[in-house]
Amino acid sequence: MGYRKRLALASIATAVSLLVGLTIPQANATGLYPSKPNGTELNLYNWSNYIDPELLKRFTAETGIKVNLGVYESNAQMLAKLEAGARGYDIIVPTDYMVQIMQKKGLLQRIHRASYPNGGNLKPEFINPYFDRGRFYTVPYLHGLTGFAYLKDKVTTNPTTWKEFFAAIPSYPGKTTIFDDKKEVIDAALRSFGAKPCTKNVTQLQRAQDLIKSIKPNLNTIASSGNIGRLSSGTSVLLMMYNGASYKAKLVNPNVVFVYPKDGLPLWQDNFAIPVGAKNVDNAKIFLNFMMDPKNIAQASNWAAYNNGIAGSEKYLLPAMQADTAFSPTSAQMALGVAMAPCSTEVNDLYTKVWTAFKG
Amino acid sequence: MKQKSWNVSHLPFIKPIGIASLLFLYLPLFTVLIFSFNESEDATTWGGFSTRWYSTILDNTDLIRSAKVSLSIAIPCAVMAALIATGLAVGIGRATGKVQNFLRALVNAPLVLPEIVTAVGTLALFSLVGLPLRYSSLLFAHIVMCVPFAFLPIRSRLRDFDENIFEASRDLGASSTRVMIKITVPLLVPALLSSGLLSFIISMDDFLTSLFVSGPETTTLPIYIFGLLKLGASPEVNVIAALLLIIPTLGLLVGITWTATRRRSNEARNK
Amino acid sequence: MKHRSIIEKEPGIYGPGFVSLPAYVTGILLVGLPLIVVVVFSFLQRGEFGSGVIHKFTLDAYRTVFFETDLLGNQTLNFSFLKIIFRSIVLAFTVTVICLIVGIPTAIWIALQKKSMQRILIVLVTIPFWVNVLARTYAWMLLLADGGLFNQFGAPVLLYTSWATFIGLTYAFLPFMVLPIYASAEKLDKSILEAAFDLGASGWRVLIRIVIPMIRFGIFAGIAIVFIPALGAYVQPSLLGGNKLMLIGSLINDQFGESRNWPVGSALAVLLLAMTGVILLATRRRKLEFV
Repeated sequence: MGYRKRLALASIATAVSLLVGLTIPQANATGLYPSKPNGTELNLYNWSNYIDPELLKRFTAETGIKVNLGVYESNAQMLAKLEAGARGYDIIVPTDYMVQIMQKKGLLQRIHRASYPNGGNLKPEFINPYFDRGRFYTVPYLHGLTGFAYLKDKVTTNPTTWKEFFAAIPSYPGKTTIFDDKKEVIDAALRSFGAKPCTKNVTQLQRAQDLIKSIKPNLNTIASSGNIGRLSSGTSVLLMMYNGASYKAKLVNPNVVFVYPKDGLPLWQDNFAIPVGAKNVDNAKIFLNFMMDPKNIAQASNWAAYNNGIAGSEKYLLPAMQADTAFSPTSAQMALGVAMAPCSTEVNDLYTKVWTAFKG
Repeated sequence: MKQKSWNVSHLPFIKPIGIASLLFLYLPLFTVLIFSFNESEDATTWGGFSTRWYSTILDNTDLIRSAKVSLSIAIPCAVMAALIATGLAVGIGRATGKVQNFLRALVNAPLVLPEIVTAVGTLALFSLVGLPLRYSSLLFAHIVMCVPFAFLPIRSRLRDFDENIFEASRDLGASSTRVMIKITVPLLVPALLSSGLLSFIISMDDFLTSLFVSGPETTTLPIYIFGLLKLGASPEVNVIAALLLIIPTLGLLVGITWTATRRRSNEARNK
Repeated sequence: MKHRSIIEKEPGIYGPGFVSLPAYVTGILLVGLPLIVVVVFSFLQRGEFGSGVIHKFTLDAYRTVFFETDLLGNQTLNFSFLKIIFRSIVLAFTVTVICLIVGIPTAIWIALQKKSMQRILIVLVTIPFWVNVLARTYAWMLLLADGGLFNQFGAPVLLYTSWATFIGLTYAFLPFMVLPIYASAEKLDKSILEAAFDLGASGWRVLIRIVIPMIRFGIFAGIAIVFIPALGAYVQPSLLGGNKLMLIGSLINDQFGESRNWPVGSALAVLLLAMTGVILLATRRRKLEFV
């Protein structure tokens, strides 16, 4: 071949390989699993009351890394904190739709899971969620559903839908609670009369607003946390509840019943992620790896009463918990669950209007 | 010798309301104290006397860490705020008229503004200059917050003193630096202690500003406690609240007895 | 004793000028700067996806605060926000009034005791002030809970009602009311009271016509010190009130947190500042000179 031809071929080959290389997700050197911890700290920013303290202690014992726990009550709060300039969190726990939002904003670091010892442990059905296909930015933590719960000795009408839930609230004034979560509450209200979450239809949103405003005088508090205590003690007899939290309440008060509302309920997936600006990235990776070990994640599940996405964890789960439908929904119940995708910004603004009108 | 023909009972309602308000102030405090010894797991109903919850809090690493964070902020804050307040006192003393009034109003401002405004403003300021939220920014925010408080004892002390001393020493040719070193500072030592103590307590107790400006690694004790409170009443919180009661009260009582004995010995010496 | 004029003058040269420079920077600039930034932010545009601010001038934030387009497209006065503001004012006002009703007699009572007794009582009033507000609020969570002390003695469950918020706020601010009034009251010339009684005045008359006017500066200071923080309260409505009734404090917190709209949060803060300014002007006689 002539010199020029060879040069041309070489350039084309380089160009092609560059193109190919650029389109395949790169494993950059910093993405690889570290050989040992870097320093002794890990800043974990998690939902309030959402991880077993003993599990964290065991993590410290096994790795020598101390965990500094910060807590938040909602995804929006967590995002607001990060955007307000709080850099240095190593692990955050965003829910599915929030992962997508944060990904779009470039707030998450890439995870090269293939280099992690436990990286292959994900259950197959958890590898390609809509918000992180291939799991390049997150590791699944726990997942669950938001329904409602009641004490069967106090609430005898057997509600099975959101419609019946809202209708029953006025019968128990001062003993009902809903979440301090705009999306969860408005979605539940929409579902109760057959509308879909993320609707742009203002008539439907107005109807949802009227509904939640009408039941507000009967609520004791509007809170997403503290409900396990409220339900088990009977301070609240009918309330919005996460399925796992209601199981924990049931352990204290056997009268607790969890309901998968027939008009649909959200199925959410919480995930670990490493935010940009993390201070102890290596330790974060070690933590992720630790949480992909079936024994460890099972301990988390056993404590929080939610199922997880790690294969092989089933054999470590508590049998009594596994037998309860709050933890293991039947396939019929599971079919009612709808994965929550984020709404568009304009719908979000409408939701905010409704929420402010409700809270105000 | 004129006999007192009236006493406070002649003024209607004064005595009963006075006593009632003291009871009102202390009922909750005693309740918390007593309930911290509640045997029962249900924090709000009494189940018998027990000290068992006190031993659990030592295991609470998050609590201990947040207490350490608070201390690590409050102590430097107290020192810096007292120093800065002294510098301010010097500066304000040198200013005159309208400028002086304006400066004083500015220093007093945070004392009268709702804390949420200054908290939000501090966050906004940090965001504007791109300062990330970490230890140094939190310390900064606390110092700024404490300076107006630290200023109060210092100013009060300066005013109590005969201004002639300062004028006289200036007349005698002392440089202002000399005045500061030889007169102002020694005079202010007791006030500096008060300033430091006041700032320390304000910083340890602060919630709202810390909430807005905190970041990773800077979960202060009040922030941690607020998180616990949101989960509702529990025996552990009973103990923590009781400790938050006992420690400042003891400190205050100790401080008062100490100043009282010092004053009495001073008076005795001066007789 | 040298007579102190109302507007205190600090004439002394206490030290060299350069000492004050770091003090000016920290103490003054950074007191003033946050406030200035808040005002500036209220005129800026909300950032993308809601975070932070874009440096473009706009009145959007104020428009949102005062006017709203409801879901069906009607533009009206923003009743949600206005209700919240009005409610906060009413709450702060009520708390202040109750603190006055309880605090004035308490201060007078203490001031009329023996000197040694006065010191003890003032310490007693001050101690709650040193206890963290969270602990003090928690105490009411215990007392007012379902099954708590009040409930067991037959009272309805007050926790998570606006009564609880109200009680919690009054409790938190009572020492703030008592102390400045006491500072005025202890300077009362008791011989005037004695003369009035000798002349046959009734207790009420002495109280209303003599004592209260003489301590009015302390009362004004107390009003300012209670009303203003009560306006911006956040902890008590959140923990005791069941997080149901939004007050300005929680609304601002929400705009900087969950709702992520900094300009609106700043605009509300500016409003709060303005209200504070009004109160201060109304109660201004001796600007906090009681210390």
